[in-house]
Amino acid sequence: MSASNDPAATAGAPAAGEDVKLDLSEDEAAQEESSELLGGQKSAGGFWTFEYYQSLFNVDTVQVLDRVKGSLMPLPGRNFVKHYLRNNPDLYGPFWICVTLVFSVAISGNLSTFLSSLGDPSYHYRPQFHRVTIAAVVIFLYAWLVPIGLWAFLTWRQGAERQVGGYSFLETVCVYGYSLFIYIPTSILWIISYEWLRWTLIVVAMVISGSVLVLTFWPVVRDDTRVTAVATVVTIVVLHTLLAIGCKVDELGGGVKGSGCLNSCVSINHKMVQIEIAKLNLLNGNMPILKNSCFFFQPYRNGCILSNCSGNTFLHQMSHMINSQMLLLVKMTIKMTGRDIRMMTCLVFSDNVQLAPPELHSTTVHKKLCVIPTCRIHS
Amino acid sequence: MASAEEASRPFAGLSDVSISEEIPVEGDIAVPVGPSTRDDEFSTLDEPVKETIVRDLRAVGNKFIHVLYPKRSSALLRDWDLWGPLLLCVTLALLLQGGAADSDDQGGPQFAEVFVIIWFGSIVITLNSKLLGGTISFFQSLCVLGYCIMPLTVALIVCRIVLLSGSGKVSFAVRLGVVTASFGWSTFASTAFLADSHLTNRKALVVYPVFLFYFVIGWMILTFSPGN
Repeated sequence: MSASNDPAATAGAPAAGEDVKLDLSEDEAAQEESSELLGGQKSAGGFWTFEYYQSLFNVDTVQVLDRVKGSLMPLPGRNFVKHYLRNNPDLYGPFWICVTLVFSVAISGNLSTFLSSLGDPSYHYRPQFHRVTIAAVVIFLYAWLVPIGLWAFLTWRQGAERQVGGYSFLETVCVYGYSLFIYIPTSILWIISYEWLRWTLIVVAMVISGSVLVLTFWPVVRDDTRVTAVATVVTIVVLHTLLAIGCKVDELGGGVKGSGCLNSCVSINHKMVQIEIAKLNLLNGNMPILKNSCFFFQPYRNGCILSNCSGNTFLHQMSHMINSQMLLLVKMTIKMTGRDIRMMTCLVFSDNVQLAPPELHSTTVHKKLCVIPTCRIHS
Repeated sequence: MASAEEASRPFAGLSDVSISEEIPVEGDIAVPVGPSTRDDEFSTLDEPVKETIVRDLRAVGNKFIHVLYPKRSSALLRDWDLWGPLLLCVTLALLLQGGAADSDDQGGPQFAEVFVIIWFGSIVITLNSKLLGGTISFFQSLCVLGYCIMPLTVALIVCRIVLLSGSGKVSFAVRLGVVTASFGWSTFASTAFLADSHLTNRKALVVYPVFLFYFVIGWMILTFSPGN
């Protein structure tokens, strides 16, 4: 009786070895099966251990380059996750691609502002370091929050079904990270300042990057109801488009700056001053000042704007705009109120320039464009 | 039954073994006496302050020389210290002040931004190389990355001197050349020290963040424009 109950114990010493061997091999087979069922997640510990994160960086140079190539050339048959990731999502690619993208957007935006004002001796180069901060926040939020939202949504929709088709959170983050790679060369090529080229580049980048995402997520989503599937895909594409447009706007946000010099300031009598502005450079990043902008010249002295002066400004001669940025030779007579004016500074306003740096906003309706340095009034 | 009992107690037979008392056991036991007469050399508590400072300065200077002529030596790795990186970082951040538009939002990087970029960047690169499986310790890597900023600091000093004589096209070309050369030197020096034999497949993955780090610092130096 006891012999039949416990097969391991009834076998004598010579047979005990065979049973032990069988047990071991069954164990190994069981482990392999369970690891396949878990989708090959080989996390080596809890997420608070260092080894867990080390397992997320378990990629070689060749693999990373391969994945980057896969994100650049999306083919309809190839699912990025299945074909390239192959159950080995990594965090190296997404993180360093985001960092590189932050710096390339900031640097190339800076360069394009600089190049568009080349040859202008009165333009002072500004590094515009705040771009880096803004770009970093936007890009990292996009690359981490959107995958979280998408993964949570997809997991909820899968519901009680077995997650055969679902992607793990890390795989979602990985796909989004690698899909951002196309924007790096795009942002570098944006330095070339032709509008048609820029629009072509951004459309191409959006198509490639969006198709990587769509091709990856369509097989997961198409089992769902038609409305949900289409809505999910459209949301993915729209968010991606917003990111691309956001990058473009950020690049163009150079603000408005200008400079000029008062050539002469002659007082006709103690109330009327005739000023001549030799050259007026209005730099506004990459957006041209609209052709029919209206410019107001408002003189001020000692930091306070003399009241009602603009109403008494007579423009004698105003040259045409040379290009979208330069005015030449403005001559006008200004009737001053108040005491004798010895020194004059001019503020230039315009009412329909769209991008002005925030520190120049004043309470007036018009937006101040530049301050022309002070000139002594000759009598 | 006896064999089963024996099998269940694998070392059962050894308890009967004993050493016969006829075999003499002899030998020497010598306790190494500590260098009691050389206590002064190991205790640096009593030395004059000047000696302490000079010793540390000499160590820092030695590492600077190793960066100037980068070859595979272990001086930087074995006796790491963070004085050099701190000195270089503060110098770099101070020299990048006084640039254009001090009161302007769209100006150059502030002191805190430079500091954060250098230290946070070094920490992130160190974490990256450790996660990829590197065997260099945390502080050794910080030490190497910090000391290898030295060529870029020298380039910044040269740039400021060049800018004193004007900021036209020639000066820009000179500055570009100097910054590019020092950026290449920094990257080369730090990869010479950080090269790890365990990571043959991932060398490019470890080197690329270092390249990006020095590129960004070089960019900040190149775009430094003098105040009005």
